[in-house]
Amino acid sequence: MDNVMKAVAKVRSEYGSFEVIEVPMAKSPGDHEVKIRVETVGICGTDLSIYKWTETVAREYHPVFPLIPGHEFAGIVEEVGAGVSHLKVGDKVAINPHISCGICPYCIQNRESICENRPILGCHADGGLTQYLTVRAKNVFVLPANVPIYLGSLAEPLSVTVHALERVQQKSDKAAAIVGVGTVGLLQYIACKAAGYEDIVLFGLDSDQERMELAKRMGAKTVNIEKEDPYIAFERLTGQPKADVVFEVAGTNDSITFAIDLVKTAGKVAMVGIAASYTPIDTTKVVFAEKELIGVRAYNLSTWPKTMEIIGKIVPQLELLVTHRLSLAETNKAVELLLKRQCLKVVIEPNAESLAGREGR
Amino acid sequence: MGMKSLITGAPGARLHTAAIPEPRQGEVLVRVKITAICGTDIHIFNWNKWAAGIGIKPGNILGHECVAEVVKLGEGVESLALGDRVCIETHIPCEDCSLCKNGNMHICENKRIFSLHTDGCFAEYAVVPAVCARKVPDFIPDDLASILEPLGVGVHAAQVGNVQGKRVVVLGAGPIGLFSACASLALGAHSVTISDVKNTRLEVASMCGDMHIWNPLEISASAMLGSRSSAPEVIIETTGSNQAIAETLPYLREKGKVAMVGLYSGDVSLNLSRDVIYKEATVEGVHGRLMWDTWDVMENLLLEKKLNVRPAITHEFALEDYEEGFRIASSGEGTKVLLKP
Repeated sequence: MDNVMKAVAKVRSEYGSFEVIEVPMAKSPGDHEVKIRVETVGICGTDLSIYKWTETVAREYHPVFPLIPGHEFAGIVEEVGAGVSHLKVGDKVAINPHISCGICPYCIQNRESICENRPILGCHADGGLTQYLTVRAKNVFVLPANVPIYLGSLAEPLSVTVHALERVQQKSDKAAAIVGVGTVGLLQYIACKAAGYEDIVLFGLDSDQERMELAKRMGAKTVNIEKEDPYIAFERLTGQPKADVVFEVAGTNDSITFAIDLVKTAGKVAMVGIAASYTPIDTTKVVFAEKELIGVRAYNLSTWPKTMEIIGKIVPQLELLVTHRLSLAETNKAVELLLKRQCLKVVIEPNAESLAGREGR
Repeated sequence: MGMKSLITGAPGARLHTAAIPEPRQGEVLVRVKITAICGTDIHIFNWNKWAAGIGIKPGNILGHECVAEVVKLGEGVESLALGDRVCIETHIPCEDCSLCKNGNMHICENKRIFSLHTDGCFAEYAVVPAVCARKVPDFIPDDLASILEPLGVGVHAAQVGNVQGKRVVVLGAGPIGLFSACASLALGAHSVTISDVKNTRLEVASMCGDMHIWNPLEISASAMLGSRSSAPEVIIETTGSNQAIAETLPYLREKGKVAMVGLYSGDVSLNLSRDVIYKEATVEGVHGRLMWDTWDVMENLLLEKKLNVRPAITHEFALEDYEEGFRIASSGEGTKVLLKP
């Protein structure tokens, strides 16, 4: 039937409650809109929070059920509305899911990352876990030709790491540290490498062993802080005792404390990981060494063209990140894999005809 | 020949007749005109855990905020002449590390602190490394010159806060808070609100310029800062009180800045996601003053009569009356208390 399509939705506020449902077909694009055939949706920690329906999610998103999650997605332009000049039918595109208002004081300063009125597709409004979606053309970016479409959903988390660099990178920086080895940590590594850092060291735990192996295959230097003294290791690997910049992506109290200790005097810590409610901080270390803790949230609109530039150059590394490619009907399986930490990046392919031969590596 | 000096009693302090020291290579001997009491001196006077743990030698001379006159040059000193009127930059840099070589001498990793790692200047004479003796322009009178060192911390904090055109909240109306507020006004802040739990301190603040005063025991943070037109873009924290920053930080605007100056006795607990990450705010430590950028800016602001800090000087005593001076400074009854040797 042409007037309905399949989607995965959070159908009620209870734990879990992700169900495949039929919804009306996405509308034809209006002025300055395009309709996308969704080909890939990354499942991320925020989706898990929606699955669990954490307190923060309940407070921040207050959606109308059913809510279609999925904010990391890419696809093919199916139909183009009036007034859209940068896109055409058949374009392979990634979508910035932050529908920034364009008129608040921060949008006017091109700081859409802190827009005051910004529904996020997949969080406040219906997102990408569906077959088709009509979206504002301003939020749609053409992927380089050499990027396989299933990797297009990585443009969103990659943009977070590119934006972290926008917030903290200085020309004089040489050695960077990344605390945390999840998808964002690995993407941060890829982004730092593309940004020209000479030495990049990833710090993880015993439980990150497999991810650190993967990082090594990408060429990263890694340190298991449960196995060796991280400061001695950092100096051995980089030739300097402390990091010029630290990307804190794990978001635990221990990782934040470590990140502050690891950065050099007058150095910057990019706070990317979403921290627990309260974090104890020894401010004497911040004061005496004039360190900077810099909040990083999502990305600006202007971050995305940079992401498109980078993503075409890092396809082999991204291929290593995607461990599973599943169908829409297998979304709950994807969530299970993530909850059990048996995967790295799982993508859902809502329009895949057949899944034969589609296992990721 | 001997000289009057005030030495640490660990705890307390006592007057002592010491030998007039000799400047070594790269040092100068100065005759002290006025020395101001700083919070650090009070910590050492009270001999709290911090003071007892930083390796101050027994009988060390206290004091570091002063104006003095150069009376003898050590070997190799060419940057100063006899009769020069100087202040002391308290952070003694190694001049050799990468921080020193990149404009960050004030946070040199090998730095020593004048009056902690050396004898101080609650005395008739003191020996000062020539690199730390800052010539004072003639237009600045002695009493103001004696508080340039702490005033510099306030100017530095306002510089870090990038306060021009912004709504600024300064937590704490002790000397550093007050100077941060005065500097914020001088550097063109849109508005400045200063908080303290002691009304005597807020009264002094209201004499220093057109700032809003706020006693959080009388008005809640939400009443003071909770509306869009009152939420700060910059917070300068000088209290070292977890409660002060924890109650104020939720009202910081997006892309706001916290200049952290105050030192906490323990960890401070912050909601980083809500108050820093989601807002893309920045928390930055501020320590001392830039050598010499901050001093240059401060002197220019004083010359242009934009920094009105004279009301901060609330008391003056002879060095012999140090006990009363320390009592007034530590009780919050006074703001800056000066001692004349």
